[in-house]
Amino acid sequence: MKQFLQIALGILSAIGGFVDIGDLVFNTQAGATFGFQLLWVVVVGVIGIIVYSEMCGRVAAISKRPVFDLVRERVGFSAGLGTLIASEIVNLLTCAAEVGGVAIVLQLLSGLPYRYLILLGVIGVVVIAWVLPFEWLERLFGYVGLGLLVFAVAAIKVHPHWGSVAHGFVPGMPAHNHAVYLYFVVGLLGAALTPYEVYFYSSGAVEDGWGAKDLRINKITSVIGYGLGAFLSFALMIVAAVLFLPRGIDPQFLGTPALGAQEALGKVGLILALVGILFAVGGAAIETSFSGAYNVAQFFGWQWGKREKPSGAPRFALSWIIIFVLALGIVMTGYDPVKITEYSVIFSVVALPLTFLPILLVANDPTYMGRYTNGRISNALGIVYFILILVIALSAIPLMVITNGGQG
Amino acid sequence: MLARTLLALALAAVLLAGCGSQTLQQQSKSLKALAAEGGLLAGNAARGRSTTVFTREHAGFLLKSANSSASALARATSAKGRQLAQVAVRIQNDLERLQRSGSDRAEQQRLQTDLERIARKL
Repeated sequence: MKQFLQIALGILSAIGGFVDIGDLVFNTQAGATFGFQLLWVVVVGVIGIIVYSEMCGRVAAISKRPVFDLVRERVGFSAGLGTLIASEIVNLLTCAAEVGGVAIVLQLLSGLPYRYLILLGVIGVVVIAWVLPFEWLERLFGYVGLGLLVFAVAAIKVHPHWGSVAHGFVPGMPAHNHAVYLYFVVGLLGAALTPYEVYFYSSGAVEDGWGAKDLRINKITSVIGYGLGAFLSFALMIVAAVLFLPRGIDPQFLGTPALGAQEALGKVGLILALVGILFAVGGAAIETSFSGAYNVAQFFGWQWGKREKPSGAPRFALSWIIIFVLALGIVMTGYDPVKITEYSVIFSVVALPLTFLPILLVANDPTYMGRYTNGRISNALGIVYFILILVIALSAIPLMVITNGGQG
Repeated sequence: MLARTLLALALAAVLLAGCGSQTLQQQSKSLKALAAEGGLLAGNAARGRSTTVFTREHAGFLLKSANSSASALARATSAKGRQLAQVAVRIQNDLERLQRSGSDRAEQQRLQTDLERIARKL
């Protein structure tokens, strides 16, 4: 039971990070556009995020310092500042998208006007984040977000052709639409490898007081948490491939994945899907705002942490509230949160190398890590993924322009 | 320096990606998607597998998108464009009726049939 509660950090990171609004949108669109053909990308993405999360969890456990603290020290002020700005833009855009997502789901559940719900949603999330201790935030959003498992049941109920599903795990290229296909490859990898997940995860590890004795739980948490996220991504893609692709449905709305659960499981499926999505995007909103506040506080050397009372870390508390206020301002302009999501995912792809390189460098540095530096397998995977990250970072913008944001 | 260049490129991409206008073929594809999704939603509502609130609100999102397609197509001058504009208006009407259908299952059934027919034809 204790271990079950301990892996809540990984589950929250996975539910709120791996299956946030970006994944809901990209996985459903990918399934509706290319059927099962992009399932392999989720596998590539999840291995990458497991490798880097394990690394930054280990760094946090051994050095007792979170990633951004070390980024500045390792790469210097200028490069660190560049990374900080890029990360904050991604965090803010993602937080805005998640806040908009919370309001949309509340609208689909209650029928109240969207603009009131944006305000209500932000106030609700801020109050919850203010009142609940860190471990209860992890548990509430992580475990209630498990309502998303309804998509796994739906994926079975829609009776996919399992041979074709298995074939989707083999990388390949479709006969046509190459540019759009590659855009989705980049988008799915970007949605899986979002920088805020690793910042939140490493700061969370420090908040949870991890040490060398917790390295095993770090490994388990990364694998189970993100593995679960990948499992849910498969389910979303399978449901979309079976229900939406043959009908020509192009999922542009947050309610569309829920419609898939409804078609497979009726009213109960619909409600569970909406509640799961609500807690997943709500958790992600908190993660992104905290992640933004962690980064700023750690970069400038302020007192930080949710475990601190707000009076003990006032600038940290003010930072995450400011991020919510700015996100509220963005969503209140009326810009579609799903579109914000698509842009934030592409932005995050561009910022990825700036996030992952310092982690790789620090995890290899015996000054920080002592005997816990990367082993051969971690290093090989870390380097391979870093090269992959560079490739997708360079191709993200050209693909976005060529495909008109995936429209073809 | 690298971060600033990457950010500038990303901003330019967002602007460029947002500037593209849809061709008639893309409009037709969008309308087909809206009609198909509306048909699926109406079908679930007709079978009592949806909540009244979800049907109304999701139909509202679809309608908003149909409205913007209809406005764009209203300016079309080609025969194909005018034909699509008529289809867009029909989808708009169906989605409006679905939004107001409450628990009228017979109406929802009729709308499912019509929206699915439109989606098949596009």
